[in-house]
Amino acid sequence: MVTNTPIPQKGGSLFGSTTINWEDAYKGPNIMWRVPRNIRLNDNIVVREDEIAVFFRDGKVLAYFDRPDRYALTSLNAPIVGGLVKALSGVRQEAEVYYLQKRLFDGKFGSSEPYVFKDPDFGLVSLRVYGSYRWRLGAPDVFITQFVGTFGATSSADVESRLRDQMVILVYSSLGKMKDQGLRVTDLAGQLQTIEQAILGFAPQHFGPLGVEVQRSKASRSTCPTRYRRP
Amino acid sequence: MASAPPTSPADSSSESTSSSVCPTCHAKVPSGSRFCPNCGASLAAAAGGAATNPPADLRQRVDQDRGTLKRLELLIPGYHGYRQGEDIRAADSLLRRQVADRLRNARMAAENARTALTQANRFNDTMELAPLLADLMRIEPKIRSAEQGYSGIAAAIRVGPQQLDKLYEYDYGFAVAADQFAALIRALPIQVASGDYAQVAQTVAAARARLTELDSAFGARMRVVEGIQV
Repeated sequence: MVTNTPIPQKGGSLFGSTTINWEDAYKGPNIMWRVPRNIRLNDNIVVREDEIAVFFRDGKVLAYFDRPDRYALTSLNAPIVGGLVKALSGVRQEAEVYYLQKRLFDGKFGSSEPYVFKDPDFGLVSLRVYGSYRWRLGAPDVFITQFVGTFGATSSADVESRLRDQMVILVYSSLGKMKDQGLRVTDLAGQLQTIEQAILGFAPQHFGPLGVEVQRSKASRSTCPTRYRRP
Repeated sequence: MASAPPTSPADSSSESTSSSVCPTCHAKVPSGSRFCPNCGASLAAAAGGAATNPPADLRQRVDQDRGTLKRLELLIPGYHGYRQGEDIRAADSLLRRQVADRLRNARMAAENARTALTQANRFNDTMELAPLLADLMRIEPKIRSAEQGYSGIAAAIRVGPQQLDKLYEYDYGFAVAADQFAALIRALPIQVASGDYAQVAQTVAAARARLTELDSAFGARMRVVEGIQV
């Protein structure tokens, strides 16, 4: 049987096992979901095309289930045996499953502090950059250590709060490099696509260590003081 | 490629089984080794990569690993065909994921080339790579999540174990094609590093043409396998 939420803490069938999947209603903006149950022997998990499941037993990653299918898991939490061991010695095996979403998420970024851009025509110009970016899980093994293990992040917003500042730094450093090659304030609007490619070119060194891949970045608005907008 | 039958996995059985020599330390290594047991050097490049060392027939592997429950299912009338079909689909899925992984590796090589271009302040040249990367981002998930071959009850065109076998063999051709494609893309970061930007543009154009070909052949895969391609 496929369980509807809430996932039972234990039981679910005569044998004590059940079938678990990540209900759509609970997916939404969540990048990660920890199955709220200590996995029992023969608990089945359903992994869909857009998901990866990570199976931890006694704190160790045993498997990344990246291929859509139904997987039967094993643990010492079996009928009779598991209860007997726990009653006699107090030992209980911790077996956990984390689901991760592989789909693309849309995030926004904006600079809180202006960036001083030295333009040959206008001199020092204060710029503020706003935009959006599209990211997704790049390396599940790195991601789960960086975000889930360290910060307990569950929602895309938790992850984006860490990515946002990094994005601003990335945009500024890309603009800085392009400025050194002759980019002017007046070129910004016409060069958006090149700026995007430059940002994406620099992105792996910023986001790779977090297990995140940035696939799109639109510095859609860069504002500068009104007096510079008029000819 | 849609009309030409892909290389069959059975071709791999004709490979020589004799031992070879490590190109780094010249020690004898057993045939099929990916690394030299003496010096640890990778032998994949020397062997020409996976293109000349095709993977085993995954269908046999899935069949061998059938557990008791699955073996019992094969004995039950009505369940037999389901089990058989599911196992070929599982093998095909494993195979297609490898094809998609090779395209992902190609995409990573193209992204490395883009990073190298930005670091070399060749910002306008990065625009050459953008359409190729967009194509790869579109095609890779398409292959990874492609339909596995299924027809319901009393379908006009049936998909049985025979068609699923054909589907596996057809998809096998993409493993070889994806390898060749990845080899082409792997040259990009080197071309950028050597400052040969004209060659970069040529490689990108050739890669895009090959990718379009691969995409259209993949799009026709179910029609070809079902024998309804006109």
